[in-house]
Amino acid sequence: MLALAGRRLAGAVAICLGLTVVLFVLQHLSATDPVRVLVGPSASTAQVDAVRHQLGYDLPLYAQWWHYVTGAATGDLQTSLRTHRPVATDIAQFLPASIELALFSCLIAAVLALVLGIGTAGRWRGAAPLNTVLLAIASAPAFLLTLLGIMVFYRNLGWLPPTGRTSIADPPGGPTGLLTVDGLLTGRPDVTLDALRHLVMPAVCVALLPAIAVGRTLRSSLTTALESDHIRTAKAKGLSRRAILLHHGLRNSATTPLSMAGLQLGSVFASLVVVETVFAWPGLGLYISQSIPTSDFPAIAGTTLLLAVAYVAVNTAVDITQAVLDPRLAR
Amino acid sequence: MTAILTSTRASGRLAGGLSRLNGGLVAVAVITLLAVLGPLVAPHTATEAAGVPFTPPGASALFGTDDVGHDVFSRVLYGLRLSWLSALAVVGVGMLIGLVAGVLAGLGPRWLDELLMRITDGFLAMPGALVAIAVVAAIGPSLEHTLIGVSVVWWPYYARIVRGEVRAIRSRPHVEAARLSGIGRLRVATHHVLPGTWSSLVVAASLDLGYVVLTLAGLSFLGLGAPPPAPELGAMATQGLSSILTAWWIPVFPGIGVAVLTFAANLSGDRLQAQSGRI
Amino acid sequence: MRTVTSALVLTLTLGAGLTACSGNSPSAPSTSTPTTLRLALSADPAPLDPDTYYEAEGLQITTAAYQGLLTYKPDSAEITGLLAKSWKVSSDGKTYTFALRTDVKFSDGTAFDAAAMKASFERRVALAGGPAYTLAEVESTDAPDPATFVVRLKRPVAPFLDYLASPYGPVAVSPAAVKAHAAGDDHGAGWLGAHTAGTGPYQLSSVVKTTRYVLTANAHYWGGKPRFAEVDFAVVPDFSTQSIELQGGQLDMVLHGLNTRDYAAIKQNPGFQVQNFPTLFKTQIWVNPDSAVFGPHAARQALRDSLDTVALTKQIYGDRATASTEVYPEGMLPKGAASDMWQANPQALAALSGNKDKSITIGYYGDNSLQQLANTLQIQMQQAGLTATVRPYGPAQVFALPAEPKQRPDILVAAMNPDAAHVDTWMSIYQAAKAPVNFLGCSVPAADKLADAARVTVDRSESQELYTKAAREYQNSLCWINIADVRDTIAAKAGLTGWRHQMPWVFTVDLATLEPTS
Repeated sequence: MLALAGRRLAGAVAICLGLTVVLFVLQHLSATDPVRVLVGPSASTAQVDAVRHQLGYDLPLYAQWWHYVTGAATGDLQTSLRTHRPVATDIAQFLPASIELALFSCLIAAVLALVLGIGTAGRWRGAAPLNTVLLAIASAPAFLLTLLGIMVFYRNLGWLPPTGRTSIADPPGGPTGLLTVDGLLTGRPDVTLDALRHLVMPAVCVALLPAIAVGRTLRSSLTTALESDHIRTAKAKGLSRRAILLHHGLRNSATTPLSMAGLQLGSVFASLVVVETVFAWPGLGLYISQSIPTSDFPAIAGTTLLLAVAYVAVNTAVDITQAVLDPRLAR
Repeated sequence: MTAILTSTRASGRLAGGLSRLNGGLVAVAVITLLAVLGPLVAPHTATEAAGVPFTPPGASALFGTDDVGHDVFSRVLYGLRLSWLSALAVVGVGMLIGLVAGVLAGLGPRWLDELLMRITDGFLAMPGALVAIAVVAAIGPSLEHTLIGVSVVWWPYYARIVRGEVRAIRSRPHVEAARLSGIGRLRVATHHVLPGTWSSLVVAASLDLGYVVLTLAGLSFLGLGAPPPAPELGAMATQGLSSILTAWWIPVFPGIGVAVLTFAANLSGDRLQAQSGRI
Repeated sequence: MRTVTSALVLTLTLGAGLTACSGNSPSAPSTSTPTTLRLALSADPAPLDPDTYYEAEGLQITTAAYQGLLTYKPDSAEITGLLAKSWKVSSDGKTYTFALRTDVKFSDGTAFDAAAMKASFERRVALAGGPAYTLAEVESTDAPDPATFVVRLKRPVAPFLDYLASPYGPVAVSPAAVKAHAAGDDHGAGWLGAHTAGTGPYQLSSVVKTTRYVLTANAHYWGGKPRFAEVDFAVVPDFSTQSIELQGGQLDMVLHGLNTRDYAAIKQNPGFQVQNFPTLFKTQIWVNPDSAVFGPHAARQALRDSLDTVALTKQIYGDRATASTEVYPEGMLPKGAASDMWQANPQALAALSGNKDKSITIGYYGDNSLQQLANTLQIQMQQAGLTATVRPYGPAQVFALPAEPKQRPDILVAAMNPDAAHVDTWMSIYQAAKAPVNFLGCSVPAADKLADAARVTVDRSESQELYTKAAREYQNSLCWINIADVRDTIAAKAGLTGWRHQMPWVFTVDLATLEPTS
């Protein structure tokens, strides 16, 4: 297991190095001028050139890259051109909101996936309509779903708040940065409740796509598992349908949906950008959607690197969990 | 990924696999046919001014008109074709590259496998939207460029599936036997391994189609994709989004177009998956 | 096929629901404490240090916290004193002497005087941010006594007083605060990115980046006490969301960004009001002189003649703009001096359909109105037999255009505004061949020469005359075609009164005079 983790760590470093190369080349190719945006339209060309020089944007590309990589190795992700703060500081500020949203999305996605997977694999009454309804909802594009959600649940019904993480003026600042958890830890359940109300709509919008993908995978492996020999034995022993499904089916078919869930992380990140923008959710997605129009390269590169590391970490964790569930996979 | 759609009992030859996948494939073919023929019943072309801007849905314009007077119904019909064919193109290119890379990784030496898999890891770990944005920014926005950008990040998914299948098939007795009897590597690959990967590839692709449609629409949200006035559903929906409060039909109908395509693709994917599971 | 049918049913239900709800949206704005005003920002502003801050979103905050020597009268291009009671200009146009107010304190409680103004000028030059160009020609400053401030220029600068009245012009920043919060040689820029230390009616009391900015009334303010004790800005990037929040009572005001039909709908609702203020915004069509289609002067002439500015303005902006009649915004040149009207001839473009190269790109930079204008032009060109496509440009892309000729569209639709109400701030930023943001690289050397001469001419009417001649040269190049004079449109809940607005301050109102009525 340690060897697996070690191999993956080495792989992650290689991936991040490769990513920075790709990002630098793409940034170089794209016809944008972040320095001009930074300094302002009326600034003279000489002034813009001075800032360009000061930031090192006039160096050859490989020198810029080397500078970036050596800095990143020591945790220095450079300074954002837009916020004028270290990118690492920005990320530290925006990360908790995204983590909270992502965690709740995963929770909702997991529940939906289980409902979809078990509901349809079990061939119970109502399984087919359930499948169809879930599929139909998950087919709507996220950007439309978000706005329609605000129109219906905020404007027309008044059930849920439209934007932001909290409507409480002085939310607790720690210790975890997750408002739902901090509210409980600091003995303020109203904070938790309020945070949950803000979480519902964005989290559902993020959760739908991965829920369908994982749910389907779960269904197919469940179906396979239920037809396998030892389940037949269990049936023959007279165990109830539910007991068979839960005790034998799920355990044996969890590995593939798990790896699918790990891979879905990419789509969760992609949805976060859209969903956080519409719901004004102060997380990394909003940060990056504000950085793209001004071509704030340090911010984009830093966030991308972080996402890549998270991706590798989660998938490594998935691999290890799988190995625990099914030792044959450890190899 | 490797084992996801790998129904371990799926084997046999190309034709055999295909005949079992008929139902779902027919569904995909039907959607394609409808999408291609749809514009025939469109009352207007996609780019002509057909009426007064912001006309609500009614007798003169079934789905209303947009901010410059295009007929939304006609544009949605054209858009269904454009979006569907785009998704097919991305999936097709992804399958092709993924197939080659996956077979190379699965049959090649260990170092090649390691290398290819790390490269796919790299791609899968890269936020696809960012790459597409950068590619399009570098070579200019157009539908072709967006499709290139998306395909670049799409193939690793298929490479993973194919590689897993290949590894599973390689250890089967009939392939082992073929190899021992001195048949060349290439021939083993094309005659004994490839056909076995086909069914899981098709299932994966059909499940993926809906996702591609949604992704292309999402990229339009970021200003990538076919430049107006091209009738691309995602672009129409996002461009119209600012009108949603006073002229809901402009973003909502194209959005429903995206949903219908995705839904149809998902349903046929489901069927395919169910059928292949029962093989 | 069944899925299609059910989708249709779903659509119709949904559509019916949407229409039904847009008719009777909640009309009662919330009854929150009337001492707090709630606004939205559509983007997280850059650090709010007035000596480096140089964008539109967030101007509402800096203009409420800081003041300069001069300002404009409300909705006018006429300059008036602010921290300076009066001023004198020497006959060589190089020495400016200001008599300062003596009753002014900074929000940190320290007194404002000539030495503070001198320190503020020096800080701006030392930081060398975007707005430092306003002081580029300053040779020295002097504070002979606390109420007298003297500025000496290297050479006459015709728009200098306008620079001092510009929202991006030099303002008074508390030297005590700068000193207390300086880190290294940053002149306090790190701290001032998220705090304020000016003489304005408000000060920034809380900043949560990308989430919330709060202004509270400045207890030491020398003018009248503002009615709102607190102004709360939430960052809400999506304009539709902002509109919904306004109508749901979550916001009191939306500063900009909705489309014409949204404003019309809000106006219909008795719970809300829509205010239009004159600005220096002009919606223009920039023509690429290297375009295969519009390169020849005759082709540009045909393009201009084909445009019916009155009809376009009405279609796109409704009552939020008027068709442009002069080359520059109101107040920049004497009325009628550079008039700019033509007889619209929709057939004019047809002359180009014989061209060999018929495909053109229409770029646009800005909000949904510009997108709609670009789409409308696309249809007109298509009807004239050209093949046109539309391409959006973001800030980083559009500002790269001067250096990236290959990325330039054939025509660019954009709404631009100058930093101040002086014609030089338009010409030298957007039009001169060496102008920093001459997007499509049009060069009119004769006009540049006239403008350069006008800039150093001391006599005002003589200078205006030279600028007017330059204006005609720029106009005759047909590289810039004016469409509309756009207003600042603000949607707010009913009952807010005391509206006051400055022409060069985009997306802002004067918060100090705003009043709730119960």
